[in-house]
Amino acid sequence: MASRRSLETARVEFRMPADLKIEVEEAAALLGATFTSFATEILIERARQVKRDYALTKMNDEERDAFIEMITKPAEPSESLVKLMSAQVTL
Amino acid sequence: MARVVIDLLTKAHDRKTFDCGHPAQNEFLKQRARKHAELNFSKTWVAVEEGTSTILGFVTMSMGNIAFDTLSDDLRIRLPRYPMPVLHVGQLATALYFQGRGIGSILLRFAAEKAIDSSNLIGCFAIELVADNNDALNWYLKRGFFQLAPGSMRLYQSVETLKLAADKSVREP
Repeated sequence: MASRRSLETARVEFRMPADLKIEVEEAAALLGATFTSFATEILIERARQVKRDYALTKMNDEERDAFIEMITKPAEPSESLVKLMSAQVTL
Repeated sequence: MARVVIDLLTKAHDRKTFDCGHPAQNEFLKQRARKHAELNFSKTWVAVEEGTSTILGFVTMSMGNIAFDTLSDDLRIRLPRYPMPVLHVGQLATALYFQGRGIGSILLRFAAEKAIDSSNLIGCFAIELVADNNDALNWYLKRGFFQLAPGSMRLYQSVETLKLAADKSVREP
């Protein structure tokens, strides 16, 4: 979202296990990136993935065929579903 | 006799004392439900006795989308829309003290009616329910929803079938 990107920066501070930090530093060094740019890129990538995948269901071929069958040939409702659609409660 | 109504979750509802017996769902209601609603990720609706703030149960819904790992051109042409929008029910729970009185059923009915409304208003093909455990899975199965593959913890019903059920329940109450 380029439109939201500003020149202003904010400080991010958190602690992580020392050995993991070394591993991240090594990976960043491999790419010639700084710790900050490496971490920023990974965090935003993951954040966007989480938001994109929220309530997105990926179906395999078996589920796909069953889903399309359900949509294109809607079944007669079962007795229990008919009952559900008139469910009421009084305490 | 107190009337039970379903309202959008607000600050005024008592979230702290809610216990459905499942820590993850309690935590969702207490820590995340309002934030999710604020960000438009999902909306949480609560069943309460009219005029009170005690939460008897809640249901959390959002727009969902169905996509497929693979999709041939032949199949794709048959689909009106892709990915296919569905009403996604991520959470549904009843407080322990009120279980067995049909609170869950009226929340599920509410969600199913919202799927029908959504299909009329903005397009929606099905309802998708997420079962957190086997008890929930069986509870949904008993009410006319089904898995698309054995072992799946997601259940579905087409909006068209929901409409038929709603019409039938009016004709033969």
